[in-house]
Amino acid sequence: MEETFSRSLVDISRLYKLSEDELKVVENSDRAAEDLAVPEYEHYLKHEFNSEAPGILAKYGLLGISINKEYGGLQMNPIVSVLVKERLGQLGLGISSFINVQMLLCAQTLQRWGNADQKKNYIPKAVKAENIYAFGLTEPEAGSDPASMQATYEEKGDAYLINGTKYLISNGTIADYMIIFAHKKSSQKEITAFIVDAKSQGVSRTALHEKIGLFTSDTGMIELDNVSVPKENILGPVGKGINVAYSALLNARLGVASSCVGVIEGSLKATVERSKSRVQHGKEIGKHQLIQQHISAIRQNLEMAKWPVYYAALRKAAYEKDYADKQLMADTELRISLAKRIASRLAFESADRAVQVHGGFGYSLISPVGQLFCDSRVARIYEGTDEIQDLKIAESVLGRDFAAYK
Amino acid sequence: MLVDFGGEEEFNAPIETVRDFVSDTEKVASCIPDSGNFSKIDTNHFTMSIEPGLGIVKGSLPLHCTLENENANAYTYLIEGKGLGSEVKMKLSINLYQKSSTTGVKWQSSIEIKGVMSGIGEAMVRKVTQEYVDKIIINVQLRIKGK
Repeated sequence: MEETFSRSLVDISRLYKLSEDELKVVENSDRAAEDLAVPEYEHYLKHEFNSEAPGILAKYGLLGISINKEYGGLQMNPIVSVLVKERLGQLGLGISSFINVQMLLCAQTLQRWGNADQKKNYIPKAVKAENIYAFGLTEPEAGSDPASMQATYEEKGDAYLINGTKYLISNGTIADYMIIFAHKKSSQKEITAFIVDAKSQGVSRTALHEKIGLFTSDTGMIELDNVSVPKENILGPVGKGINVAYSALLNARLGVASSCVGVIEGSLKATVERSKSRVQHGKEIGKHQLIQQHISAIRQNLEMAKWPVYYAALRKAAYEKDYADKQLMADTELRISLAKRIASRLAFESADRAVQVHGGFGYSLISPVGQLFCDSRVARIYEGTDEIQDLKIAESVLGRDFAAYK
Repeated sequence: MLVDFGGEEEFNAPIETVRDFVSDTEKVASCIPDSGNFSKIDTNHFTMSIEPGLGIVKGSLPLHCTLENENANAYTYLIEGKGLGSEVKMKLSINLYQKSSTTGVKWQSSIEIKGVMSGIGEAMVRKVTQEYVDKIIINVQLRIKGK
């Protein structure tokens, strides 16, 4: 019975055989989830960043799953990352968001685009959580269309001066280093990525607490006022930063999708438990047929969400072996868009059903399903909105000539 | 919600010492963390309060406790509490047995939780309760050692 709503290694074994080392990492995520459950819950109620999360995740090696061994990582197949995030997603999306930013958006991006010194200097500290990282792409006026960003850079001697505002940035106020995207002052199209020390003169940060969920994730606004960044801190090719950004988003998008599978599992677990213990009208509510309908729907959602996520992870594994294969890249992007679009919608719907089964108690942050409900809404927005995924999916069907944006 | 726990501990003391300890309600109560207001009703009954700390379930929870002494080596504590929007019933069974120079203690507890606390979810309640039980065992070990 448990198999049907816990992360099922039986299911994944039908697609991929986990090695002993991979299985150990997956088991470590179970231990991490047990260690994190109570602090995550407590910090959630206080609406504050779960400061214990980075240390616990690093202790179990979970910030280095997709990072090469030479930088202190575990160098594992993306499917392992998916299974880990699926388990942690049962606790909500706060921890998941931290991993997304620290490992998938930043460390993995440094690994793909960084030079030897950058990799050596920044990645091991990300894996050990000795430094916290943030990814500064979104701006107040540039969300789904990052290429329209207004942050600028201009060359000045041996450095670049960056000006602009980055908005709704996860880890924004706690990061030691930030990957900041800006366009050349004289050319909107020439976007470049920079590694910026958060202590640099001209950096000011403001915490954004007024969210409707995701309370254990730090969210901030970063203002850059003539911030001088040494030239050696350019990440990836000059003027091609948008490719750096999109590759990072692809990693994180799959991360969001896998956590959403966890949200569905968390919703189902809590709902089953509640249905068996709560008595109304003289019997356990699980014996009422309309409650069974919710349980059936969440169970269906789990089935519908996890397979596209697993399949996308396997496509991504193939793509990571050959970044030059454009066809594989297009298919991987499509699979990840499908996975995120499906899993995020079903996660929100499942959490909503779980709240319904929990009644008034569910409509409260004291209730874990209330937390899942509030958290899961953002999954339909961050790392590419539902609408952006729809456009990508539709384009794959209609053809490039019908692309809504080019 | 029903949460079951069990375990086996070894105490570095003769069985008589451990027996004296587990049958003394005041000594046992003193090992419960974040507790207070102990009041002995008679040899086998007492009241006290504990302060659970999970989410909004924080504050003082009054408990009524009964010790049932089945035989010299078998003891059962029945603990009931109501407050903080929750209701807790716990049955703790303790069985002592002689080892060469030490005492073995087998224990089994079953906790029934209703109300707000139960809605938080079994996994989390289990984790918090396990930590609480671990602290009690450490305290008992220390007290028996005379520390």
